[in-house]
Amino acid sequence: MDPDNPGRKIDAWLDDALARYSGAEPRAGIENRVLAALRAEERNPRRRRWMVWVPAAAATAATVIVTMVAVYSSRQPSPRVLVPSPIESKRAPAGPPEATVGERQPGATAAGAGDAMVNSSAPRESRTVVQAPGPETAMRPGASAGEPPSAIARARIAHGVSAALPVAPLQHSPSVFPVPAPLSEQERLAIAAFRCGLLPSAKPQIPPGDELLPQVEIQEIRIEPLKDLEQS
Amino acid sequence: MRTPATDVESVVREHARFVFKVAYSILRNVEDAEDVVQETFLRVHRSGELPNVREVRPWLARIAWRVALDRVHPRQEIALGPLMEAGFQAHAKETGAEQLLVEQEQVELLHRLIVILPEELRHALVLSTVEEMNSVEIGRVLGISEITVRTRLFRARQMLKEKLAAWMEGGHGS
Repeated sequence: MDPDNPGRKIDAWLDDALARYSGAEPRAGIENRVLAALRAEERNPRRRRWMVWVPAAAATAATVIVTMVAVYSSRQPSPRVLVPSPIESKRAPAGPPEATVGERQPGATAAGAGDAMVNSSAPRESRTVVQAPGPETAMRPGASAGEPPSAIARARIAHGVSAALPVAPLQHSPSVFPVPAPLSEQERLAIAAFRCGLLPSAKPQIPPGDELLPQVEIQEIRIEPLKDLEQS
Repeated sequence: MRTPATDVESVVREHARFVFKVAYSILRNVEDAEDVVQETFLRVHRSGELPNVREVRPWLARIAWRVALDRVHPRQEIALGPLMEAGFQAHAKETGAEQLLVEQEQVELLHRLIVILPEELRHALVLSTVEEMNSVEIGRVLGISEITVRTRLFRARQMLKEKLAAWMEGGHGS
């Protein structure tokens, strides 16, 4: 190094400094540490970042599906309230549940009592129950939609139901309403008791007519002639 | 026929020190540079591209370069004045007993001069200080041509000399 030449001095200083600039050495065993890290990586592979989101995405999808199913179920029609309208005074006889509007049911008889249903031994058409507001309601479990709207419309027209009246489509129109069910134990006991005479007759106990009717005296009708006309 | 794991192992044993020097040229810290070495080879292992790589050294240097740049802290912007004066004075009156201290201060002064260089010049100059890296490999790491590397190295060296000359003309370093 020439101390009298500033340019050479700077060059020498730069060469010396640059040679030492990256002259540091790693600590002993850097290769073994790296290989140990690689083996640890092989034994326990780090999960990729996108895999972390897989469970979260699955949970989100499940939540969305459950929510959609719940919303869809809430929008399903509730069990319908079937009310016989005033015009629905007749009902189909007991028969196969496949009976639909317009189907003929020859020789059928109605079994219902205590309601507005009218017995009929003549062949007649089965009816479709039309939903309408009314004081008398009955639950019909298992009812579901599915009857073609045209059949409903025909039934409404045939019964004179207003078009504005909401009609729930019926898939299986009941031929007998209420649906016949076997007698309960209490009912069977009551019938047995009635047959054995343990129960009073259902016939009304009407007293004889003489006791019931009051004694009425019918007086003779007398018509007096007009006196003024005779005198004149 | 060697398995990929064996290939990685041989590459680690052959190039770990080189990767360390690349990382150290940027980070100037042994621990950080060793972390970069581990991260570099972990990336190599995960990528599985090692069997398809023709020139391993520039490929490793590029990976280590990027990993190290991700770890650079902005703390490197430091005023030069006091250290610059101390470095030249120590270099001027160097003795055998103080040789190690002089070299450390000399390198630290150079580092602080390099830090204030433009980025494109700084990167080329830093990689040129890594032994065994020529202009072609530096160009592959930086994605530039060999001629551009040489031009940048020349410009970087000129800027360093100008800064040192201006400082010496101010009455320091004698």
